[in-house]
Amino acid sequence: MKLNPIDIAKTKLFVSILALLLTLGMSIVYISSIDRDYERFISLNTLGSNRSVSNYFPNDIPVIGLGDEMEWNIQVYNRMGNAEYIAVRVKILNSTQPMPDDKLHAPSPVMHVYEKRYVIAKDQTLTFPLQWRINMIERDADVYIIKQIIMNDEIIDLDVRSVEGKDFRIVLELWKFNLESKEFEFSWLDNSNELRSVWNQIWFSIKQ
Amino acid sequence: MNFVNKIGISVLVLLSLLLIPSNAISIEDLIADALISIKEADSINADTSKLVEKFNYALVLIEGRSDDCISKDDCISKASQILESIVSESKALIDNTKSYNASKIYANLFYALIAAVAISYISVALYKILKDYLEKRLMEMDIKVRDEL
Repeated sequence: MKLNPIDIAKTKLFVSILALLLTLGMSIVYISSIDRDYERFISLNTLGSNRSVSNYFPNDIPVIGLGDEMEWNIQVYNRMGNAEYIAVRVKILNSTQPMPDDKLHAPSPVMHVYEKRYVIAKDQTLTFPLQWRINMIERDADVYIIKQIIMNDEIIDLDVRSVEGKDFRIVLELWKFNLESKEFEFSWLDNSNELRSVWNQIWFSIKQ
Repeated sequence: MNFVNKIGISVLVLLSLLLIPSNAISIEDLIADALISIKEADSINADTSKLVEKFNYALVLIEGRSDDCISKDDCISKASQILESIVSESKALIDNTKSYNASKIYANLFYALIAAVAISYISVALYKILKDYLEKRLMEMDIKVRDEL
């Protein structure tokens, strides 16, 4: 069978368009199947009672009395590319006790008073409540001592002092489980090999 | 103490060591194994949300915050079973997701091929229609001599 020149031209055109479209289609399928690199991080947010950055304290004033109930929400967002086993550790400090070091990515050396552990799925946000109140305060001259708090129904004994009951702070540190050491660590390397650590703090004083 | 007594005591010590359950070591290892298996599933974009939910329930049991067990040992035993099941379920999830991903790629390639053939055919047909139309228009034209000024 011999094709006439018009049929040959049509076939050539058909094959050319087909080849072009196939190349384009395969490229799109290939590009859509490969994972794009993105910044990997975990974020920690401490939110107030209405899940916003307000309403942390009664009347929104960071001066609290014995038994005043704080209803906070802790939000952790996992953008690490896979599930992570994390611990949120709560520490109560006064103004002179060392806070976490952002340059060295070291945690506060003060022992945590409360801890919550969770596994967070990839690209998921975990929100859990943190209800707490001061249950016992002692006074030694002008020094106020927080002796006991109740956090999520757990009674916690402590001894944090501050002159005139001013400038206490609640520090929340995010610790991530290291599969090699099988321990929680405060800092970790991100995908650009930079050390990362995450923590929040909120200041408060005690009613005189 | 004579030699026979020494051997007897050694055998008893060895037997008692073999009979001691090793729960304390295994729970940390189980947590790590379960986490590794979930991360492996995540690496191929599997939906691990149900496994994570089970993991968190196991953590509740380990911390003793659940009413679903009667004692600490019971809680640890139940948590161990859940963590072990996460490892096996994760393997099944990885296999399913791999075959699903492969079939998705083949399906996309098939649709791309069909679309390419269809678009090429339509393009050639349109080209022919346009060409025929232009040819027809050309053939239907009247030849007129341009009036000279």
